[in-house]
Amino acid sequence: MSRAQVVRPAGAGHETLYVLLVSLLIVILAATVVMLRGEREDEQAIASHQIDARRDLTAAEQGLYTDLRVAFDEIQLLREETAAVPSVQALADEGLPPFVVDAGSQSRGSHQWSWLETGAYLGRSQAPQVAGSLLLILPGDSSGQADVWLRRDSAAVTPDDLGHAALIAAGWQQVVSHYDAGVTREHRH
Amino acid sequence: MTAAAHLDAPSGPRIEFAGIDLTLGRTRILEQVSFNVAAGSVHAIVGPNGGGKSSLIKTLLGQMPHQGQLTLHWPSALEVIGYVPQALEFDRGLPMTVDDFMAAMCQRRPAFLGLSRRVQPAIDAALARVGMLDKRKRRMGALSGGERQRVLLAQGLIPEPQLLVLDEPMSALDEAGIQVFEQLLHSWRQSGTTVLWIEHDLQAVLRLADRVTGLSRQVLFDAPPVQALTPERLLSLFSVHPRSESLA
Repeated sequence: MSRAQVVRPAGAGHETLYVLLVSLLIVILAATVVMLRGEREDEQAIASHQIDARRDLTAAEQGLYTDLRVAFDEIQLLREETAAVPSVQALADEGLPPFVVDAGSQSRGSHQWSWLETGAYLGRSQAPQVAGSLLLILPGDSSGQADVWLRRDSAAVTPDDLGHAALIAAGWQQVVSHYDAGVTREHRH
Repeated sequence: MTAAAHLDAPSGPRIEFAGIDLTLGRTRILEQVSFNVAAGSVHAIVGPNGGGKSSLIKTLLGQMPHQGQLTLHWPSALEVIGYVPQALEFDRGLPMTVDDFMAAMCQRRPAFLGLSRRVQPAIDAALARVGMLDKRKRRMGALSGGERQRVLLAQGLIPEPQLLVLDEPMSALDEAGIQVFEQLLHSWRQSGTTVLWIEHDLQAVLRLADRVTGLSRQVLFDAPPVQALTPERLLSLFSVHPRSESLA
């Protein structure tokens, strides 16, 4: 058994080629995996009747929206304790923004809060250019989620029907928030 | 070459250098080097400093970007090349004993874990062959140049090579070491190992080599030592302008 072994010239030539091929393979593999399994989470379209809580609200509206969500938790607790929806006055006495009337509430549009028997708190804005009117619809039981609607025109009439279709028809917009890639990435619409 | 002296067919390879060119940067180091090393022979390479001898050996070991065809014709499945470098560069203060060095060269197990049981007999035998068995616990840095060269010879013996490449092994050897080396050369010849040997000592080449090649960028002669080592050829080989002389 004999074998002729040719001594190949040393050089980076074929090694470079192998490294390039392996890099190319890795890139192709990675690209394939990304194409097959990647999900575009940053493209959450919001419906035309909705308004994005993070981008499309004014500063005062954002503050009010945040306060409403905090107040909503309190309202749910009070509902569990007393088995009744707390009145606007009771909430104001507790010092809960945005129901309490103070310097803060005045600078954010001096909303006048009232309880609607159909199951919602309505805050009529006195300065629609600062912040629109807000509607906090309570869910039927104490475990649901808060539903906040916004209306920016000055003729903020009391909605009779709290159904989505009726609110949309009356010019209300639902305030929604998404946690998506835009939270950390600059993303102009 | 005395083929009759072989116990059986040579186990070492035949080496064929065919038109080897080597250029590093803009320096031409080897130019159309063509000669054969017969299987199982002791082949010496002589030449002036900077003549490309060490580069030729590095080319043979696949470490140079040469051009031309370099082929090793192995007669059997055993294809082990032993290499003994000219010198070993390391810090003299390095706390590395002869055993550590042999372990680092001959086994996969980390040297600090000691000698592997598998290669221990081979290392013992190799150190015994070069007469360094009683100095195996000495630091490499504390050895004399000749003793260090013997250790280098010993690592070239493990595993048993079919081709040995020696880069001036005798230059640092003391007299006892030279005797050891000659014994080793004799045993390699007996076992049919091919030996490619760079040497400055022309007396030793005349006495010990089967064939000698004079190399100074190109092959100036390639013949048995008795014919090759004539005064005229040696004068032309070691002349400053050897290329202007006609090839012998």
